[in-house]
Amino acid sequence: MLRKTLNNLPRFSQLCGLSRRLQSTQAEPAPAVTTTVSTEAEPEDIAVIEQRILKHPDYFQVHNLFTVRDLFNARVHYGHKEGSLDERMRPYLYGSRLGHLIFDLDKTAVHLRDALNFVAHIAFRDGIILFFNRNALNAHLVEQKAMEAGEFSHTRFWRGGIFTNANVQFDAVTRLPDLCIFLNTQNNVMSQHTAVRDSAKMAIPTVGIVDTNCNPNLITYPVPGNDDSPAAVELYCNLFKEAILRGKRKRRDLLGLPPLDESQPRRSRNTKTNSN
Amino acid sequence: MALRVFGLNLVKTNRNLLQNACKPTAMPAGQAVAAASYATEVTVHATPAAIQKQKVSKAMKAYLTRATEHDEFMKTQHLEFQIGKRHLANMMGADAETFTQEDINEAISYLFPSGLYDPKARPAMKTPEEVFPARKAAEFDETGRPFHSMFYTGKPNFFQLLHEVVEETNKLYELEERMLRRGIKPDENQKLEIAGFQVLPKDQLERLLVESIADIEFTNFSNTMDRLIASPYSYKSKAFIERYLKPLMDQSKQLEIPKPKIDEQGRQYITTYECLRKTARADVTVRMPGTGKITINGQDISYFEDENSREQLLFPLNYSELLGKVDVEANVEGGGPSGQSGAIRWGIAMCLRSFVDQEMIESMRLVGLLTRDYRRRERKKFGQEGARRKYTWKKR
Amino acid sequence: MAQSRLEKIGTIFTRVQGLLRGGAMKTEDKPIWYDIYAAFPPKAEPRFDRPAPEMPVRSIFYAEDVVRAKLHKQNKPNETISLFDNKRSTQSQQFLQIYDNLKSQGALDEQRIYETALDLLAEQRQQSRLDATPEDPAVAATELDVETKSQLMSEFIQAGGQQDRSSGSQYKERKKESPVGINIDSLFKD
Repeated sequence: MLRKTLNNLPRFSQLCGLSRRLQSTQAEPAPAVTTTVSTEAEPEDIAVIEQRILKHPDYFQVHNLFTVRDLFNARVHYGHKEGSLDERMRPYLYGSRLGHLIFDLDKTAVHLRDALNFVAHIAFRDGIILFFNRNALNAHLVEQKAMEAGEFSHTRFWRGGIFTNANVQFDAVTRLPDLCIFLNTQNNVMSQHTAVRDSAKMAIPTVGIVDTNCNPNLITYPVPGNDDSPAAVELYCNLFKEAILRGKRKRRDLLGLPPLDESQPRRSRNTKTNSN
Repeated sequence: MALRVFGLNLVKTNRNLLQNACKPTAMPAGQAVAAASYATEVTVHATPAAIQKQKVSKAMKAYLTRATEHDEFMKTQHLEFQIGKRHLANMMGADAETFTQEDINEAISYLFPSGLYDPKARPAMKTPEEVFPARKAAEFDETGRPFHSMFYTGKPNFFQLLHEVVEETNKLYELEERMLRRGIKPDENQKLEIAGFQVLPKDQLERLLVESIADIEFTNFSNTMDRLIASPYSYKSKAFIERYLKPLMDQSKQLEIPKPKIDEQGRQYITTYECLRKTARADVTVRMPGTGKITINGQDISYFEDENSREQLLFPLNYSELLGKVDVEANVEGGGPSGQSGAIRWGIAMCLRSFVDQEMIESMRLVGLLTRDYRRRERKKFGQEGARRKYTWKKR
Repeated sequence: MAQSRLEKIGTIFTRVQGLLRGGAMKTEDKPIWYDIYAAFPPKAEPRFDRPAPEMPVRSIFYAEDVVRAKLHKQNKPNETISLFDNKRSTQSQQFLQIYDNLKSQGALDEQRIYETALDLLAEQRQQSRLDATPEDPAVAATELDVETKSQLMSEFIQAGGQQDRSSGSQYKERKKESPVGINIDSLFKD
């Protein structure tokens, strides 16, 4: 009834407003697009907008987040030695320099852009995003960035069944993440992170940085690149964080909520009686 | 609890809104805007470009049903408790309105006397809040999004703590680097004093974090803390470190030697109370210059008839070479001669610490004079003659 | 959970699609990533059994590798190199520059160019050592550090509007395959 009318009414404005909005997106470099929309009287359901923005190839303008030069400077192109090459990584390689594999950064950039776009859309839809990393060197950084983005991180030993047996592990019905981002997909040099398999089992899409010794098959959006250097990991973290924030900002903007407080990372809210 | 109430309230408001929405559309057009504004729960600064259907996640739904079930259960339990209390009050002939928990306990122990050794095993009647463990509050909001960034690790508080320790360490490293470049050395005077302190033991940390921690995780924690403390600028994050340190009070107390007092005759004296051995208990006073007089319950050393006990008494004096230089007064009760003499021996040794030098104390400790003997009588077992001895038995 | 947990069959998308078609999963329970995946499918299907493509890994060599190898074999420059320092060129880089200059002039044969370049490099180094006033090492160190730290972030921010194509092609130009003919592998092997 009332809700129905609410849902039906915006369709008109949607029809006439669509092309103009798309144009303005392309003209403006900044992701702020729908300032014009707020003048429109009738608010529309966010689900309708979610569907509509999918038609835009790059709604959150993730292509301007980085350049290939940035990737090069962050040492993304360094792979491992030839002996540890996973056969499935061959198409992403530029070549081998005296036994050291080098990534083709043009291909990396394309894949990374796809991944960032996907991440931004998930964040726009209020999805839960979980960051993974098993490299102790970068663990603190990843946790920090996940907090800053208002999302989740798991950089520790993976107890089996966190996804597959969640309701028992957490003593309650639990919402699983909607996207897993792997900053490295290996537990150690020998074995793959179990969460890669588990997310595939639970139908959770994954974005993963795959080095030359990783298996990219189960990763939904693999990004070929160096997953060991702190500089590279910092770059990835910053990019993913920015993409997430763009999605979130847009959503809050559309819903008329106050903007995110980004000056300080969201601190954990402890539900338990805890002194610290 | 507060959270759950919040969640319930949310659902309530949602229900209201739903009712609003379901009313026939006879409302004026202005109502639409009013209804739309509920999406902006906090502030309304402009008409939003979009609205969101309030969706309660599966997780929250499950939690809410569990919570209501639990509430119902607690309600009935509470009712039953009230009825039980009234019955008890009637039986005891007291006023049911002013019947307190203490009265209940008394009544129960009177009406249902129990010889069971463990107090927990005896009959009791307590409020249902005490009997049934408190439920965990929801760790996620109504869309199912957890509150804690490390929720999926399963031990968010612990890993948050590790994260904070590393953050602190990184800060100190950065500071050290800056200072090195400027050529400034860390202040030696402010150096963190951690002698007599130890990193919080595992059980206490678990209680603090309300999470159970594996042994290897605790090792990781103490290693990380050690690294933080080892930093030359650790005094900068003193407040943080001290939150996770525990003073080693027990040992330092033991080491503290009491100063002798002066009595009316101008002699130094020291008294040790509660000298225990087996079931004997003694108070021992040693006075410093003396003639070697020993008084036990008003008698001299002949209080003990056997030589062994007398030797026991004299051993600390002999060992510290103060025999004949101090007077000993002891009041002792309970136990037999060997227990009493052992109690007095320990009391004398403890007193003598005040009259000898550090080296002698250390050597007395090594000899075992300062160690309390906790051994007690071992019970007799059935099918045996005594604690260990078996009945005589011959096969054929 | 309604879905099959066999990650080895199909992809997450095809599995959810099957459930939606068959009615085992209701439309309102559809995972939020489903539409995004449909609109922006990944480049390669994330199947467990996707076979590895048969393609060779080519070796990266440059034309100047020949003379560089010669330099390192015969007159190995002895110096300490900071990997964070992008400003200063190493001895072998200087040598290659001189060598290229001489070669473009084109008068001498290769061995002579090599020898002259070595002489010139030694001369140049002598000169620069005289020029360089004893610099305060502490100042140099701070400069270096500040630069490396700021580099990444600033470029990350700067790059905002830039199109990557230009820099991408620039980067590609630097890596050119060496002319075939000389067996470079053998040069590096020993």
